[in-house]
Amino acid sequence: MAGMAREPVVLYIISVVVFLAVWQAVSMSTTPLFLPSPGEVAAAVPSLVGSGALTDATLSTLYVFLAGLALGVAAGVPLGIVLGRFQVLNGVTYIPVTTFYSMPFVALIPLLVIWTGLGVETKAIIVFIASVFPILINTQAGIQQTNHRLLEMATSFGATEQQKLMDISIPFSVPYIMSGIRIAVGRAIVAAIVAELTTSISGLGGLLSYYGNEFATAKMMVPLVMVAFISLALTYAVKKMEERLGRWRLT
Amino acid sequence: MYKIQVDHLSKSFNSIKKKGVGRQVVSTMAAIDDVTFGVEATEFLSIVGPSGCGKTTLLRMVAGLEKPDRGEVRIDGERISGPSPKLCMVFQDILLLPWKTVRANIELGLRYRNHSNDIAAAVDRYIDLVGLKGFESYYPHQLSGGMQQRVGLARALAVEPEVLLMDEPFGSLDAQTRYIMQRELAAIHSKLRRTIVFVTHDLEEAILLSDKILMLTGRPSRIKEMIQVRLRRPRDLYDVKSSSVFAELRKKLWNSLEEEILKVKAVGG
Ligand SMILES: Nc1ncnc2c1ncn2[C@@H]1O[C@H](COP(=O)(O)OP(=O)(O)O)[C@@H](O)[C@H]1O
Ligand SMILES: [Mg+2]
Repeated sequence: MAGMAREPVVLYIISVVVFLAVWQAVSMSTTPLFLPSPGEVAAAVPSLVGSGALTDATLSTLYVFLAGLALGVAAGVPLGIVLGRFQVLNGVTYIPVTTFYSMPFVALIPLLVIWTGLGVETKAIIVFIASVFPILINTQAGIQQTNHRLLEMATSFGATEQQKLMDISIPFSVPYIMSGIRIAVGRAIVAAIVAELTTSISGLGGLLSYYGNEFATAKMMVPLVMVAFISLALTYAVKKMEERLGRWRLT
Repeated sequence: MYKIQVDHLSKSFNSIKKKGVGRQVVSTMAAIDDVTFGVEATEFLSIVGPSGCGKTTLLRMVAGLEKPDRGEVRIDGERISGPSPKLCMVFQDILLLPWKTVRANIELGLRYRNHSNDIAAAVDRYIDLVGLKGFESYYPHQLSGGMQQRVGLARALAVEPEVLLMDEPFGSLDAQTRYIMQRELAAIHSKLRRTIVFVTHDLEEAILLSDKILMLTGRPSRIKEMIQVRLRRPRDLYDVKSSSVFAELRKKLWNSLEEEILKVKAVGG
C-alpha cells in the first residue's frame, strides 16, 4: 500500500521567505507607487478589512467563481458521459465543442452583456463558459478510453449497458474528470476576475481596478494577494481530491 | 447431445504492418482453422498447444465474445451468438476492477447474473475457498499476481455456471498455491458436476485434471489430436503423478507438443 508523498513543508516555507526577500529588495530600489514593499502592503490590510471591503469583495468573487464552476461541473460531467457514450453525437458536437473550448472566452463577454446584462448572473455565466468545456471534453475522453477488456469482462457476466456505465466507464473516467476540473478551476478563477474587470465593477477584480485607477498601489496589492491565496488553496484542494479519488491507480 | 458442440470453427485476424510513412499492408492471419469437437456435460476438457496458436481465441469464441468467421458453437444445442448465462469465463489477464475491493469484485458476476440467493453468503464461501479470507477489503493493486488470479477465479466460481471456461487460470500461481487450487478445482468439478474447458500450457496439470485433452497444432490451429485421460476419479493428485499411465501420457503429450513447437520454429513463425 503506497503512502501519499509527504509534503516538503520546510522547502515551501523557504521558497515563500525567499520570494518575500526578493520582493523587499526590489521594492527598496524603486518607489512605493511602482512597487510597495511587503510591509507596506501588510499595512494596507487593516483599512480594507476594517471597511469590510476585502471581505465583501472576496465573498462576491467566490460566489461568482463557485456558482459558475458548479454549473460547469453539473453540465460538463453528464454531457461528457452522454457524448462519450454515443459515438454519433461525438461527430455532431466535435466542431462546436472544440471551438468553444479553444476560443478565448473573453471575446464572448460583450455579447453576453447584451444578452444578460451586467448582473452577477452574467459573471457566473462567463465562469461557466470558461469551465464547462474542459470538464466536458475530459469526461468524454475518459468514457471513450475506458479499457474495453474490462467492459467485455462485464459483458461476459451479463452486465447491462447501464451497469457497465455505472460500474466501469464512470469510475474509469474519474481521473479524467478530475483533471478536467483542475483545468476548469484555473480557467474559472481567471474568468471570474476578468468578468469583474470588464462588466460591472465588483469583487476582488473590482477592488483591483478601483485602487489601480487611484494609483493606490499598496491597497491594490491586497486583493491581488488574496487572489493568489485563493488560487493556491484551490489548486491544493483539487490536487488532494485527485489523490483521494485516484488511490486505486497507485501500483 | 454434447453440452458444448464446436462445429467447423474458423477465425482469422487482420494484421496491419506499417511500411514507411503512411503506407500499410493488411494481411490476414489464420488463428483457428476448421476446429470441431464436443464436450459432454460434466466433462473436464483441457486445451493445450504451442503458445500463440489460438487457445484464447478459441475459448473467446465459445464464450460468445468473439464472432467466428465460419462455423458455430452450440451449448445444449443452442447456437451461441453472445455471452450466455450458462457459462462463465476466467480470463488469462484476470480483468479485475482496480477501484473495487476484493469482495466487490467477486460480487460483480453474482449481481450481473441476478442471483436471487444470498450474495454475501456466496461471496464469503468462495473467498474462503480460494483462500482470500482477511483480504476482502483489499484493492487489487495491494495483492500479488497469484492472489489477483484467485479473485478472478472466485468471481467466476461464485456464479456457479453450468459451464466454466478457464484461460490459464493458474498461470501465475506459485507451486504450492497452484497445487491447492488444482485440488480445489478437481473437487469442485466432481462435487458440483460442472462442465469445464480449461486452457493451460502445463501438460501435467492437463493430465491431472482432465477427462480429455485437446492438442492444437501451431498456427493456423487445427486439432492435432484428442487424447482420453484414462485415470480413475476421484484422483489423488499426488499419487496420480507417480502412476505409469501418467508418465506415458506425459511423454506422449510432450512429444506431440514438441513436434508443433519445432514446426513453428522451422517456418520462423
Ligand atoms: N484481436 C486480435 N487482433 C489481431 N490478432 C489477434 C487478436 N487476438 C489474437 N490475435 C492473434 O491470434 C493469435 C492467437 O492468439 P491467442 O488466441 O491469444 O493465442 P494463445 O492463447 O494460444 O497464446 C496470436 O498470433 C495473436 O497475436
Ligand atoms: Mg492465451
